[in-house]
Amino acid sequence: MTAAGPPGGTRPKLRLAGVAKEYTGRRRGTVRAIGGVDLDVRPGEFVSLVGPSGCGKSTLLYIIGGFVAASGGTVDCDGRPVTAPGPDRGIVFQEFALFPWRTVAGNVAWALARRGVPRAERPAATARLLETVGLAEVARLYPAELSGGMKQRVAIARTLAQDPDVLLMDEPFGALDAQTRALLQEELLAVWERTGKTVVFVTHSVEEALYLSDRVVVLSRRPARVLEVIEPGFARPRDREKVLADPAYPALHARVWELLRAGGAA
Amino acid sequence: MSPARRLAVSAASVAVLCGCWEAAPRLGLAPDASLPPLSRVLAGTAAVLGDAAFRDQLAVSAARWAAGLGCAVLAGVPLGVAMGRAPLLRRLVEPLLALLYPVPKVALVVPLLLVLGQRMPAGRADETARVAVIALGCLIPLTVSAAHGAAGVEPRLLWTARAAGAGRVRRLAAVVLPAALPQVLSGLRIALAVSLFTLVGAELLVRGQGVGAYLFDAYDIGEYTRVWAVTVLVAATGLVLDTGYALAVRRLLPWWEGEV
Repeated sequence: MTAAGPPGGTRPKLRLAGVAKEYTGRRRGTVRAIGGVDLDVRPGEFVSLVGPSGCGKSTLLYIIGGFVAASGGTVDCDGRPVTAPGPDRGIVFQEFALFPWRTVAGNVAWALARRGVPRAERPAATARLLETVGLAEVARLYPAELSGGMKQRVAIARTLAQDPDVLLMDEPFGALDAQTRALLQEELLAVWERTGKTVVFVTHSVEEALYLSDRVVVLSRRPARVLEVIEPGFARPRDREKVLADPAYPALHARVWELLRAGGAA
Repeated sequence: MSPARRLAVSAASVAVLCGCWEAAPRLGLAPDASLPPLSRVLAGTAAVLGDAAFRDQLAVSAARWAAGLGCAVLAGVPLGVAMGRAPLLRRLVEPLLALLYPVPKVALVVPLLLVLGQRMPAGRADETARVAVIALGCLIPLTVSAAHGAAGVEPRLLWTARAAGAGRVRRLAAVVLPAALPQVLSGLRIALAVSLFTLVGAELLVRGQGVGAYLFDAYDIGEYTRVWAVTVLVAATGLVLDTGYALAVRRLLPWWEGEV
């Protein structure tokens, strides 16, 4: 059931070993947010992190990104320890985090420039990326002029412009309406299948995690630990109706929910 | 309310004021000749604008104004941005600004003259004091708004830039500065108003040359129409500057949704 690794390589893309995070809270002293997470992510794999709200799944993603320092354990990317953000790990936030003073094309071109794409090649590369996310017509608009779904498409295009090996996604579709969310899920799968990027996807939606992922990592409530790793194993390329109609789906769905409830009630 | 309606209401309020001003002296409601009717004041304004002596004073004032405001922008904006990004610096400077804040900046002209008078000829001391007072008056709104703007940059924008490979300097130039720009520009709008009243105030207090001195001269020789005419000019200049500035900012920042 596991996805095949790339030819000639079994080294994980990401290796989390004993990752822990403690905060000094304002009133309650030390708060343990993450209580030791071990996880290997294979190159090209699509892994979702689900867990009760406030369990620290976004923090775990930020630690992988190098934006937040872990207080214990290590994160390796391609065998090298992660100590800071890097272009090999791109991130997409729920709140889009677009540069409001740059146009749609400007946001994408800026990331291309950081990667060292020569100025002359940027317009064509920008147009290709915007084509990828279906936004060719709005290249000259500012983010404030776009809908939420369009903003998130721009954010994805900008992150792809950075050409990272790993795509970190922090509840990227959480702020969108159901229809837009479904469309973007399909588009994300198409992009992922075409580019072969490794995706770590934080969500609170069990349906979303099962539909998109190779593996669903279910985290406990604070301090977050891995409760169970579930492999949906639906055929790729995925089709939403087929996934929902799959005889295995209800049991998987029920199992994740059972874990979330148990983890949440602990 | 539609924009046209809003404009009509605002225009009506100004029209009522102008009407009262015109009527009160004519109906004998004004106490004495010190308040001429508006029409005469406006005629006086035209005369003042045509007066070569006034234009000379205006040039002196404009140079002072530009020097004072320019110094405040050059010092205040970088200081504010630095404060916004370096909490230690903010802690160091903020109490000093808080001390300066309630002081009427025009009043500082007197101690400034005391200090400067010991070190330079009187004319230069006067000039330096006037420019310094304008700069001090504008410094606080500029510094405080730049500090707020720079401190309030959405951290995820900086994370995104860092992940894309932008170094410290580039993050400052390409993320912090544009993100802080709307607030810097709204600080500048406040500074524009402050600069006008500290300019005229300093010129009234430390006389010599300038529009304020011209105003006071008219008062001294009892030319009340000219006093009112210059006052109206100063008010109109403020209004035109403020409105023009707001329009320019809207053009300059098409992406900005808020008010400046």
